[in-house]
Amino acid sequence: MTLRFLILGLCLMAFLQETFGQHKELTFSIQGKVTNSSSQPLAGGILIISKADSSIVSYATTDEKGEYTLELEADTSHYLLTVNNLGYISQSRWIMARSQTQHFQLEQEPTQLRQVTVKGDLLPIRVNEDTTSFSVQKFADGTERVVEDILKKLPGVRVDDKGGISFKGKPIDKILLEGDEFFAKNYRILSKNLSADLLDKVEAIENASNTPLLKGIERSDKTVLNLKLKEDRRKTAFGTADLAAGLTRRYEGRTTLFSLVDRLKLGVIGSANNTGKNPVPELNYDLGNENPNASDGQNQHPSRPFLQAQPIAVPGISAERFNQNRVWLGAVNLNLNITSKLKVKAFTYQLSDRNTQQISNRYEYLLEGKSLVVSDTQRLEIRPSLRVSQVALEYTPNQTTLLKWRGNWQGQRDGSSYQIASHNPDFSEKLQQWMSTRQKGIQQELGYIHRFPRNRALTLDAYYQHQNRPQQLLVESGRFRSLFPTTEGNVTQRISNEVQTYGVQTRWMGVFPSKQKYALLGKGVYLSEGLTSGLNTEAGSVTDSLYRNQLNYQKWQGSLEANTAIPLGRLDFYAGISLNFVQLKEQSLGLRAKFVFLNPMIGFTYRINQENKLRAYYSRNQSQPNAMDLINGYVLTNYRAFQRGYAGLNRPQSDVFTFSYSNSDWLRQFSMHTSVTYLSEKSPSISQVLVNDQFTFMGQVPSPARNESYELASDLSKYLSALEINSTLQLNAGWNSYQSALNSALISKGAIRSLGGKLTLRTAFDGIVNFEVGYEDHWSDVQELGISLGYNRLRKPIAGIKMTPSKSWYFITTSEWTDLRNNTSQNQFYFLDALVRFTPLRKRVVYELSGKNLLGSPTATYSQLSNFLISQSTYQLVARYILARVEFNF
Amino acid sequence: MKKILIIIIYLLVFSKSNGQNVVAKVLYRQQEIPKQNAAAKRDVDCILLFNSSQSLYYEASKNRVPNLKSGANDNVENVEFDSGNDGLVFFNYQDYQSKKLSSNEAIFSRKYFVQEKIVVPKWVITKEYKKIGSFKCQKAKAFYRNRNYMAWFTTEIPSLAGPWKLQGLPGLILEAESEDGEVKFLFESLIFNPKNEKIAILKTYGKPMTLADFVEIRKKVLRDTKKSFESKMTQFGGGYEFNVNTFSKENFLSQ
Repeated sequence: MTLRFLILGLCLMAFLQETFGQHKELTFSIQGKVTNSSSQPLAGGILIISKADSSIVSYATTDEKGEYTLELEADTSHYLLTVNNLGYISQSRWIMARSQTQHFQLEQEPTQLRQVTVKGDLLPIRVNEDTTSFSVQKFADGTERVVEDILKKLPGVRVDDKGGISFKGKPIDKILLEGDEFFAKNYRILSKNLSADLLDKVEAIENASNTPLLKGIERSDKTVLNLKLKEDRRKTAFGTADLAAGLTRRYEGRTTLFSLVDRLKLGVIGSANNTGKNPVPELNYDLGNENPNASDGQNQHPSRPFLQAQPIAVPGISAERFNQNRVWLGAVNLNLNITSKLKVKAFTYQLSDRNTQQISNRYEYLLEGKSLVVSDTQRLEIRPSLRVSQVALEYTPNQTTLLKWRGNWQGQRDGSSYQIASHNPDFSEKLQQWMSTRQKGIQQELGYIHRFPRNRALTLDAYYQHQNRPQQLLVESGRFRSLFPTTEGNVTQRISNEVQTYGVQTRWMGVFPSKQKYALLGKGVYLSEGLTSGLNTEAGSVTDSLYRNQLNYQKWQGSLEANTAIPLGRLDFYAGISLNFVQLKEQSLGLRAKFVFLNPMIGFTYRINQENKLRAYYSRNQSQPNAMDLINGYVLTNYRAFQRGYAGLNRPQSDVFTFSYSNSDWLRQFSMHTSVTYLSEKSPSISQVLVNDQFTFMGQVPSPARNESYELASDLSKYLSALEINSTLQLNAGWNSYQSALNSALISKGAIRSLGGKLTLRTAFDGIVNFEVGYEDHWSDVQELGISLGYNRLRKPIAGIKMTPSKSWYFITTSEWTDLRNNTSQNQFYFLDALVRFTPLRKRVVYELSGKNLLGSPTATYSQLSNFLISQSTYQLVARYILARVEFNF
Repeated sequence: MKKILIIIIYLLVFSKSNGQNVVAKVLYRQQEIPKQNAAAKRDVDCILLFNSSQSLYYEASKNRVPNLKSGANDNVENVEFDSGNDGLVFFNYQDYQSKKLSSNEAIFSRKYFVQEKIVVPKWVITKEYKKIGSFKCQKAKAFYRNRNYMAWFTTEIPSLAGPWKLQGLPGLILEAESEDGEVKFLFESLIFNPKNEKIAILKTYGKPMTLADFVEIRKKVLRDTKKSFESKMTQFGGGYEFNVNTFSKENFLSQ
């Protein structure tokens, strides 16, 4: 009995020792050997000890004998021991937390590894100081034809209806191609015509400097986009040719040829279509010397934009849906380094655009206390032809000096016709007007830059500009005859308008040892403008003492500006002020006027950290009157203007305040940019207003009261890695107030409110099928004196499926349902688009069959005023050929 | 006959130790953004070749930093000392068995062949995970050569290798960056079983020197160059700064 208890006790003690005694061992070691199936030692193997939650506790490698030793402190009873070795199947086993020996014999992996390439995430967005780089393939879904289609999908980048591009709320200055400038400020030629297939990356560069010589001295607010091409495109000449044909005689063709090799950078673009695609919807060609120190709220250009077209647009509806046009574009850009010191840049393009649009408008006015309804049908042929050429030479005799000459020539011809009917209780009238314009301009510019030691620089610029804008109108109007009782028949008005401008500008810039930048700017401009208008009827010329037919005025303008940029750690502070002198002289009126005004500006950028940035900016801009303000009422420029009889000097003053916040966390694939802008405008100085026409339209007279607007814009983008979904959200809200007054009496006051948003979700699965869903909503209304004049609402859900069953075949179908309504009408239309693409392997040809199918109402009424004709269903077969690669050395 | 046999055996042994199959080739993008001298930014492609016992990391492209913008600290005369055109590239060759590291280090445009002992950083492995490419990666941190580094490694590729001189984790390091943001290694692509690749010490100049000797020479050269600049600049007065792109900074010591 005693012996039994003794044995039992010993067993119990042994058991307890075995179970609990090990936990008294705090540090333990594991050692062993790793061999292959042939018992040969495996060096370089990695052994990992981890816990149940997969956290790695310790690890070691095997030596040349295949042996290893692991030491660790025990804080749990069991661990997972895993051995990995390149080319062998891993093994894992659970072990108890005590010193022991563990040997492994590994089997070789059964399949011989071929050469396999695994691509990294190619993180879609990378931020490096002022450069944000986007990997195109992470945002493209295969439907993109041109660069603009890709830019629309990049977070933080907005493309408006006219093709204007902005990044983080700031309009870009230009687009570079592999660092080279093409077509100067007319970047739309590239963005709307260069094939999307060529792009590898898009870089958005903030604070970009135009001139390398001024690097580190010049404070720059400019943003540029730099397109980086796929590797093979940088080495040889390359190009694409697209040709498409469709139903209802639709066609589309585009050819591009580029060479970025060696000293010669050449780009050629040709494009023609009648499918509503506008290759150059707006030109940003301000003739006149630009002031690089001018900041966001200030427009220091001494002359107004020379050539501009205003295409009609409806927010939320693509122009291709309702435009039918006939357009062709031919463009060539050449950058050549003749020697290491001499560079020439030249481009020329010609555009012919018969964008015939028919728009029906309806306006209601308050006229002398009575309602006047005007409805018209405009038939516009915008810009039948346009020619622009520029040549620039840059000579750098040494590392500190730059001399440049630039000449540009532009010519434009366009025409429009109006048919207007107006009714009020006192009269009814029909008016027909045909207007054609021919505009020509040249500019010659000389520049000199010299960089001095200790980070100082001097620039000198001189330019001459000549613009000629004759117009001809043919007017048939019963009411016109009532204004000119002695006339008979129709009236022809011929207007000649010539402007000559001479300007000089100098800048002195530098950087203090404390890293504070400063700049002093002096500018002088002399402008002479002549405007004459001749009215003729079948009976002869028309004169009337109340309507002057000639205007000649001269303007002298000078300004002094000083600004400084001070870096204070993470804060960059900027302030500036300009003093402006203007003298106006108009001979026929005997008018002389002088103005002196100050334009201040102040702003800062605060980098919270690498990802987050705050920016705020304020400026006041008072400007001098230009010819349009002087001549309103003096000459008849269009059918509405002739009914006014006032003349005055209008000096608009605007205040701009912008606040923005941006976050670019590329590691977490998130970006956000939000900006709020407040703009206030008024015309405080109106003199010599004379109203002598009983049919004055309200609101057409410059108003001394302040008009204000608030705008909020926000862009968010986030890649949801767990769901493999790219999500983007765009929001915008606006409130614009307007007031009109006459002789300081307030006549009307109103506001336009708008709200809009767009959410898009795109999957990024590795498989064959991917999806896209989205929803867009826009709303706006007009309120006047507290009464709603109408609203517009557009709602558009989108759904799409993309399939890539093989490398050769690609399908995508998108469904867009649009509901457009206002307080008097509602339109619904439904588009079902599909595209099939076949790319034979190792061939240079791509075939595409696409269809845009319209189901529903063929017209849309927007803003109560306009009826737009929505395009019917179209089908196109495209054959796209990638031109043979040509290699040459210059 | 004996001699031939010895040669064959030697070649077999030699080829095994110095010409082993390259298991993988990794392409990284190496970015250096020294805060003190923004003009000296570098952005180059680098390649890592490795197998179970060796690795070779070298620069494979020229500096691609675009010359388009004025940086926030860019207030110095833009005197850049680039890598020159001597045919030598920056590389790090590591032999994990013998624990030796051979590299081309530079002082301005002159390259020096340096050999040192491999020092494994004291990695602290965290519980943070993320996906890079198709690999599940885990985060680790360590202080190495005067900087705090964060590295993302994957145990799916069992290798001690990594970009530059970062190594010693139980998996291939796919991405790394320093906490001060001045140095980044970004994963671009990985090729298993690449063809026609070899792991060996690249072209060097002169005899190998130890790390301590190299540091001493470097200090002396920098002191002399600074004095030489000072003497030239005095005629214009002050207002100059003298900065050098020192990737690994001064501190090679203590490890």
